[in-house]
Amino acid sequence: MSRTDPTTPPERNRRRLGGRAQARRRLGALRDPVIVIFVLAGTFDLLSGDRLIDGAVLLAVALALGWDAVRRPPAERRADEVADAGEDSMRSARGRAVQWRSPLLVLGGVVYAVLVAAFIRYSLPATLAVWAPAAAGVAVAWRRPVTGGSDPAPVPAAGAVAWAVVFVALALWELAALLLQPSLTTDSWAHPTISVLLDPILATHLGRAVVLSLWLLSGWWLLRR
Amino acid sequence: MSSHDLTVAGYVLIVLAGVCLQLLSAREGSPIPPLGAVLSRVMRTRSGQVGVIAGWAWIGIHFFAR
Repeated sequence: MSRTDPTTPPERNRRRLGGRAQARRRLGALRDPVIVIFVLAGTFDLLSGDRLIDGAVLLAVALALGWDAVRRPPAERRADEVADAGEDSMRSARGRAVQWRSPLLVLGGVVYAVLVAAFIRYSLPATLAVWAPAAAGVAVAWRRPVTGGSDPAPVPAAGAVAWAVVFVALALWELAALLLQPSLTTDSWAHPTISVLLDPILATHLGRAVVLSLWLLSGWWLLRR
Repeated sequence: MSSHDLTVAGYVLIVLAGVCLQLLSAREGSPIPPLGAVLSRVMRTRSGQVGVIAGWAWIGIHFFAR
């Protein structure tokens, strides 16, 4: 009785190549700017003494994206996305039949914002009402193939850099305000973060309704990209 | 000008810079793309697509949910 030796040279080569491919994917995940941004944001959020859930969500997104990048080779990901694209285009066609600015959708969004704004911030009803669309949005983005939509026009590098400068400046200004507070966990009116500036607005029902409407609208707009 | 005013002025300036870029993008032959085009480009990758939507979701959770 002879058994195939699992450590024959071809088998060893295959394993070695497989190991190298996985190491490359791990390295690729570490270099993905989106994952890096989420790791940094989550780390600073936890350091700032913010609620644990905020930092945990950011780090969970980074972990999930990293896991996805390592688990599936790029070629396999592309194949899956192409396979899903046909199904997605049919869904898109059906989706286009429902006008995104239809009065019913707008009415639904306004009713949602007015109702949820009636809840106290960070209460259980407010938490459930905000987590539901947030989780649904992320689930849709996770499931949706990236090749499904129309191909956007190339973006000039200089223009992309200009936009990046604006967002990086905003992040650094916010970080500077945070570091100039008496302590990371103590709000400062002298050096307000965006959260501190928004607190008076979000203290009123109207303010919460407007911000929730804008949040919902921007999420809907982003999902249609 | 107090520290508060200076900090707020910084935020306003940054937002105005974004508004200016968006307005410049509307000009014919402008090298500045509209924000929507940049986001569409970013969302052409899986991590970009999930990242942008997760960022949006996080804003809602941060301000309203626990």
